Amino acid sequence: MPSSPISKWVHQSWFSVLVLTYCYSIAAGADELKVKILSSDQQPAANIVVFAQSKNPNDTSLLVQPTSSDSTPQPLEEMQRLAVMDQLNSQFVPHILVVQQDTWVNFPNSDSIKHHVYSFSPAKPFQLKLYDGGTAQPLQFSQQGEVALGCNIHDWMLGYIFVVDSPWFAKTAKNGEVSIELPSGDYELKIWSPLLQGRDKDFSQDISVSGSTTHNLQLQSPLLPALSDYENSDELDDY
Amino acid sequence: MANKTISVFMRSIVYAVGLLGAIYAPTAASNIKVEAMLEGGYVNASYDKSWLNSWMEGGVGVLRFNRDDRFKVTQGIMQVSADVLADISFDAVAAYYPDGDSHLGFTEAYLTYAPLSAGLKHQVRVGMFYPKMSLENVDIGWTSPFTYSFSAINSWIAEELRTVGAEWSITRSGRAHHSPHSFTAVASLYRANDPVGTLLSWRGWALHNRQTTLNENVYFADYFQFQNRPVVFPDYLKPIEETDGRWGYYLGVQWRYLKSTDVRAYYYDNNADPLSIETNMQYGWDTRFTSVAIQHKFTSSFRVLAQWLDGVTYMGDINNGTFAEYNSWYLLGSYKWQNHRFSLRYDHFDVTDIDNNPMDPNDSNGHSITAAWRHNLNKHWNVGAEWLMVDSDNENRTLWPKWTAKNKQKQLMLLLQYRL
Repeated sequence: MPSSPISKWVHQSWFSVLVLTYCYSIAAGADELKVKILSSDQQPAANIVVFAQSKNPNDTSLLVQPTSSDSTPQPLEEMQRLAVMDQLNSQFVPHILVVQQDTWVNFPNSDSIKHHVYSFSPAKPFQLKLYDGGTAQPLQFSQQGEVALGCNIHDWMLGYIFVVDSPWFAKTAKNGEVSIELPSGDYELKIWSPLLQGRDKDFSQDISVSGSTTHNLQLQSPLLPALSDYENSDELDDY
Repeated sequence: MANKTISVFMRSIVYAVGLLGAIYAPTAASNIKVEAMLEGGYVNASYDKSWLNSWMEGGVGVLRFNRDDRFKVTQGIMQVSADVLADISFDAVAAYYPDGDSHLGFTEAYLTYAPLSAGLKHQVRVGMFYPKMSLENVDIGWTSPFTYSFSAINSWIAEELRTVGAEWSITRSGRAHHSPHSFTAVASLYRANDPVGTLLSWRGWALHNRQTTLNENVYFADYFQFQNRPVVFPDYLKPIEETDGRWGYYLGVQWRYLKSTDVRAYYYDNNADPLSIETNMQYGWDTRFTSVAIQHKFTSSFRVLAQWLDGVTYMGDINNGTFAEYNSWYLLGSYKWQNHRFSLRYDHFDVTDIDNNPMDPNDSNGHSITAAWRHNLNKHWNVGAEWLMVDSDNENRTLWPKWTAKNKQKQLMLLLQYRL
């Protein structure tokens, strides 16, 4: 069974507007997993990370690539898996960035003010001072799990990097739906969001993908409030 | 003399902080951020009596500019921020003003210690700085992005109040806790703000944007020439002066709902000895007040700000000194449309004489309307206009024969700002 590797390209415009584009190169015969997630009150649940971990022992795409122990950027081949977590209008953009294990993440600063980004999460504790228009060296995220980001200067800034050990992941759209291209086979379907509570946090389901497979999930517990109004940008915030 | 030593000591700290910044500046270039603003234009302060000129010129008016002012550079501000160590940063603001006692000086210079922590955030500021009581003065160098002239409350804070000491704040970020409510508690200990209250008691409330710099004297009308006493107060004050060697303090709480509503409540007490006096005749004014500031953003383009301040000040004894109660509030609405910002503010202010000294009347009150338009042309240039009308009724103006207590003053300004 052929694996279907995912390639990612990062385009950074000269105007500091960063667009992260995922291009899935679909190998012939790739199948599709469709998942729709509803909240406990039957509403579409957006921005939930859905990922599928292969249960097929022959799947070579899951082999962990050797990683360098030092954090200096590697040659281009090593940096191919590069994602971007921008600071724009004193917010993390995107709010949730999902990356495959060992991906390098770049932290540009598109604001004209200083940010002091940090994480205390066990998966990747770090801190970076990001000056106006400055660049910091990318960081590699090698451990699975949630990395919650904050800014020591702007206490309303909150972002997440979620590291998965699978190339098959995506976030649900506003309609609660997500579509992932992957080879047919047996998988463990998992979800993640900082807003999940209770048993939803440990949700896992064995699935079999063949052709186009659809799964509808309903969350058991209410989601924590998204509080997206924290994202309202304002040039007069400071102080 | 001990007080003098403390005063010199505190001033040395501020200079040392400034010097530290200057030394670090060339060695850590990438960490340095320099912002600057130069403002000037047409000023027309229209009133028919020359004695209503600015207090800085010995007049008894409540506006910064004089009757014959026309084209002026109104202010220049430079703000430098730098990281000194991992958790310590340095900020300094220098200001240029064409008027007043000193044309160039520091308005703020302080170190901030902000260690990373997973839960509550701690921040300590040491040096000379403004307490963060106001939500109006959020632009470069504590200026206002809404109007050119500050509210009466913040005009007074700009000219008389400055913390020279330390401030500790603890913040619980709502967002990090999945809550819409964020809280900050603030406590400060400081020296060197003993004359605060002087200008309110004599000149009364005013509307301007003239910030007092370190070591600067603020001159005002000679209200004391009519008193037949050998020792009278000089016609100036030195706001950042220590007279009694006692620590003052303020306590504050801040609450923020998401990013739409801010409330800040502070209690300030400079704990000065009202009977203390320096050899340069600067008295201690025992000054306490409560300030509550609110901002609410109704939409992304329309917001309302309000602030209320109420307090007392005591200097000397009740029969020979100056005791006064004072309060002021303002309501400001601001609407942003594209690169234009329109703001309208109403100020009300009042001072009540509560001493038994008939030679020194301190009653004053008034209100004002300020309307402003600000327009950002590009990253570097912005233009704007402000019209201000103020009615003030200050009893001590009648100490002069033929001068009247109640007067109206108007001021129009068309200003251009260049920002680096």
